[in-house]
Amino acid sequence: MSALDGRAKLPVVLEIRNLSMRFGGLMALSEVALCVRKREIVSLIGPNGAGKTTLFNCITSIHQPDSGLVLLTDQRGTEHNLTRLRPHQVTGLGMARTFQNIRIFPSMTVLENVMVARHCRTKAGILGALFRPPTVIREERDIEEKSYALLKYMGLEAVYDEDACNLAYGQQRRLEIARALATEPFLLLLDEPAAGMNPHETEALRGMILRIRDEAKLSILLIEHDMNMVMSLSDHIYVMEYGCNIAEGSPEEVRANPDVIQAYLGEAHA
Amino acid sequence: MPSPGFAMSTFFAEIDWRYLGELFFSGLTKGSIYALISLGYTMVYGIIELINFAHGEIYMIGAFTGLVMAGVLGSLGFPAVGILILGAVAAVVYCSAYGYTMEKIAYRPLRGAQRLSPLISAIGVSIFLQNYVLIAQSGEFLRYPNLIPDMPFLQPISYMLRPSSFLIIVTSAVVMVILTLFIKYTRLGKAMRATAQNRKMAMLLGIDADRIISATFVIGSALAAIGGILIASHTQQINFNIGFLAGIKAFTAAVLGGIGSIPGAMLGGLVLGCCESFASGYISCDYEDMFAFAILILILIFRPSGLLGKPKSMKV
Amino acid sequence: MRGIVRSLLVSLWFVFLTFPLLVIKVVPNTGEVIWRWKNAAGIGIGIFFLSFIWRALLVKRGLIPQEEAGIGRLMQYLSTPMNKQRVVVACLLICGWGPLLYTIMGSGWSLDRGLAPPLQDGAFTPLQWAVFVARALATFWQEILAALLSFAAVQHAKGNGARMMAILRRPTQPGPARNITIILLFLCLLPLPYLMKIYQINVLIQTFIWVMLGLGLNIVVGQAGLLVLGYVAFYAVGAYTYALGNALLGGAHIGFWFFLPLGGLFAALAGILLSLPVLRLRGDYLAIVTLGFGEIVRLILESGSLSLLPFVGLLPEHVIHSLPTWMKTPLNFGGPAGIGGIPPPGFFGMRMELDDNLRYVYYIALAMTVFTIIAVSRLRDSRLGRSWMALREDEIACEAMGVDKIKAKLTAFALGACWAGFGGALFAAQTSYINPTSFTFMQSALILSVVVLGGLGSILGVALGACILILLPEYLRAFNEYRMLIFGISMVLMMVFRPQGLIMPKRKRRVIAGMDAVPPASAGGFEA
Repeated sequence: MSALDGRAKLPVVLEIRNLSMRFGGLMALSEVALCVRKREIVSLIGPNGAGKTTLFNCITSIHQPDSGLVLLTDQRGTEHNLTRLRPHQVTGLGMARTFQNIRIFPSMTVLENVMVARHCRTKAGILGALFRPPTVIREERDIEEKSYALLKYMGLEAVYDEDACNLAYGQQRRLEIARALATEPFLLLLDEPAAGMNPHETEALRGMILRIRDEAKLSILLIEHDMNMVMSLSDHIYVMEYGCNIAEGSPEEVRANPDVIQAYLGEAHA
Repeated sequence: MPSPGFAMSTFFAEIDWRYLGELFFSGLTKGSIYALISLGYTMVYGIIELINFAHGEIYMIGAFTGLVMAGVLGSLGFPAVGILILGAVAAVVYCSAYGYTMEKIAYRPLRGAQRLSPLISAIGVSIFLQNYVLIAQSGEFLRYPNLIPDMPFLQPISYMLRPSSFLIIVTSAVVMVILTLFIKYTRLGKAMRATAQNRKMAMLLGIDADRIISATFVIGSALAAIGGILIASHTQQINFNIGFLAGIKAFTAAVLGGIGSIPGAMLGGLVLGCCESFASGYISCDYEDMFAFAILILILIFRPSGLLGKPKSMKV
Repeated sequence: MRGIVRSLLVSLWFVFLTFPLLVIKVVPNTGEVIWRWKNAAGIGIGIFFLSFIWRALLVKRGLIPQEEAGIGRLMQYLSTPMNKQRVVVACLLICGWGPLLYTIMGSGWSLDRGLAPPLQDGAFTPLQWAVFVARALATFWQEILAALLSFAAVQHAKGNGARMMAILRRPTQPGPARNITIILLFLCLLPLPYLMKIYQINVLIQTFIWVMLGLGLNIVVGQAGLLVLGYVAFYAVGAYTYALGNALLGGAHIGFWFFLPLGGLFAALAGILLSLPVLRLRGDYLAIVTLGFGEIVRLILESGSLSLLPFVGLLPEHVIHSLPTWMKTPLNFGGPAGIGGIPPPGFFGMRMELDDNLRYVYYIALAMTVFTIIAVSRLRDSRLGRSWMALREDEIACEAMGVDKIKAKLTAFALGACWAGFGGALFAAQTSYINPTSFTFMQSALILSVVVLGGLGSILGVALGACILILLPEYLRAFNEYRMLIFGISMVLMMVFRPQGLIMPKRKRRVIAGMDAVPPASAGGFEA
């Protein structure tokens, strides 16, 4: 039985069709297609500048693609086209991301960083803030508790009151994940979560990603350069080069694919 | 009520060319001054991304230095042309010194600070310089002596081009050509362009960025000084807060042309000057200043990169 | 030695720099040239000493290496705690006794300043005594300040400096000490209008208005990180709403209490109107657009009137006839002369003396300030406040975390402007006469400097900043001429040496229900 058959049984969460994007004269993405199914870990690999982060930015509506579709199917089975939405709406639908170059809120505390992410799941407004009725007080307490619980889950509870910029690099990466989880996503996009980590930390991160997938019941789309991690985590891998899909399949298939080897190691080794 | 077609056909027939010419040259005069000042804004912005709020005050100090020099030299019995030239030299020297000192005290320690800090510091310098001149000199409008010689060859068109306007237009054209050549061909000019493109890389290549930034401030201030002394001889009246409005308008010109772009600043200055002049001539002179601000806002909203600037892409 | 040479060069440079403007003066009409050599000497000597301090501070901030500064000997001197203490003590004594001596020598200081205990006719009540004590405090504030600073100097010399600082800092931190301080301060403010002269009451009202303005601007600049340079425009909207509204529809039943919220509302609308087109702009472009907006508002006010006629004129004749008259009459702003005759606030239709009215305005201003402080601190600690902060820190991440950027910016603008509107209406009620000179860019810059000097984002800091910037110049009349000069310098110095302002914004201390124990990271104190 091939990997594809086993895959086909699961419902699709995110589907990208013919996505193209151009920066001036540069074709950053051309006709990219991708599909993430429920509770899968899908990896996106490719050499630097292949357009992986641009794809993430298109999915999360930070960039508007020139053509193509990004379809997100939510928990109730409704399909949404994300291409014309604004980033916070995408997050509201249930998709959250981390950034390649860490983008925490540096001079807010660790806890507040996570609390911000509860924004789209809460609703107190100006009047609520001014008059503080019991519902708002309850909501605030709920935000604090849920955020703290998430910090604990990611092993950051000891530093909850630190300024986020004082955190160690690995802790900042974990904080970004905690923050993304606080938006209650069913699809999590991780942009090079292991970048700059030592092998020990990477191993811990690998366990953490698996645990998040199983316990929070999410699908994960991952950009990563650490091949060991990608191969051992992924259910499915997409390979990009120069803004195009060049291969896809299970880890074994991708590992054996001559195009992929060529893309990574160059002409001479093919 | 006449039909619109009728109005259009008479519009060209009845156009008052003399009036138009007058407005055009007055716009060009003002525009040249704006261009001279806006070069300082645009060069500084190009290199350290700072809106040097105090730049207008440098221009004002240039005018005041010229006034003081004129008083001193006049009492010593110098001829008018000599006073004008020596006054201009003194203004350029002093304004360059002010620009250099200002950068060293108020901006250099803030390199690498938050974005807001240098801007607020610049506002502080602006307030300080205004009040320094207010206290050191006077709060009243001061009369500026008429130093510009008669130019007989302008006689036929004197109704629309006064000698002072002629001097302003010619001087600023010459100065701008010199600046363009300087930026393009000299070592310092090339280093400035490199630093504006990528400061870190320029530093790695052995360019002393601090020196380049100082040089930028000095050059920008010198240009503003020329503008200051020219406008003072043109309007023959100065005051300690002429710098604020001129500064804002010059900044508008810089933004209009595309901030960071030197030809843009020149073009922007001229366009703004002419626009203002025509607007006050044909619409209402009450709204002259408002017009500049309206242009500024519209440009920033609809084409923040200006006429000659390149749009910047966002990096995520 | 190198340091002295360096300072000498710097001072020569400044003498050269200030030479034409500070030394030479040409008398406008006669053309006579006056040489003021004293100024050059003053600048030379002053800069010589200041340049040491400047370099020492730069070294301390780590901006230049110590060897380069050439002040090794000085730093060495300061590095022994004993000497450092001496310097601090000297500074404290100069700060305390300097102004006092200045007053004594300058104005024929005498013990009898119109203060007599209420003993003359034998009968006195505790209230009279309280009034007497309060008057005495107000009269002898310089002496009291000098005494306090001397006390501080003595304590510092004894080596109790750190402990004293801890005691001084306590009222700024959450806890009973702070609550008591706040209540005491409030109680002190209550009887003031009955103890002070009209002029002083006006100054205090002005201070309250500025605290409100500062806190309002703090929402936009400090919390949401949007630099607004035309804030005074919203202040003008509030003031003119009251003035014009009163002229158009004022009457027995429609007065201050109707126009106060309306002023806030209109200012908020103006804020939204301004923010809609500028949402996309980056920090300094936003600053310039708002500056342009502020100037346009001022120019409109100065030009005199604004009317719908050009637009109304486009409509067909019969439609124009059926329009209400207010659409056809131009709105008259009074031009540079402004609008006068604005009535003071009413109190249930009661007739009041002029003095009582001012006192009444004082209490309204006090109440509004208290309301503002509470409202602003609640906003800061709310979901909305967090979204502003996140927006300030990183716009892209903020959006990706589900915060609606546009909505957050709009609410920040609207709320910030709203307080300026309240302040404006109050200002109009206080002065009963307004004109465009109260709404220039300088005012915007001053409000901004209140926020920046006090500490961006810190509520206590902004309030303190407003008090310093409004009250201090009033009490240091001698320096009045130099007020703006000092503002300018202090803005620069503040940015260079203490960009966070006088008081750092404090973080809310959070204790979470399910927390295991106090985590080690925060066990030390509240502030990071």
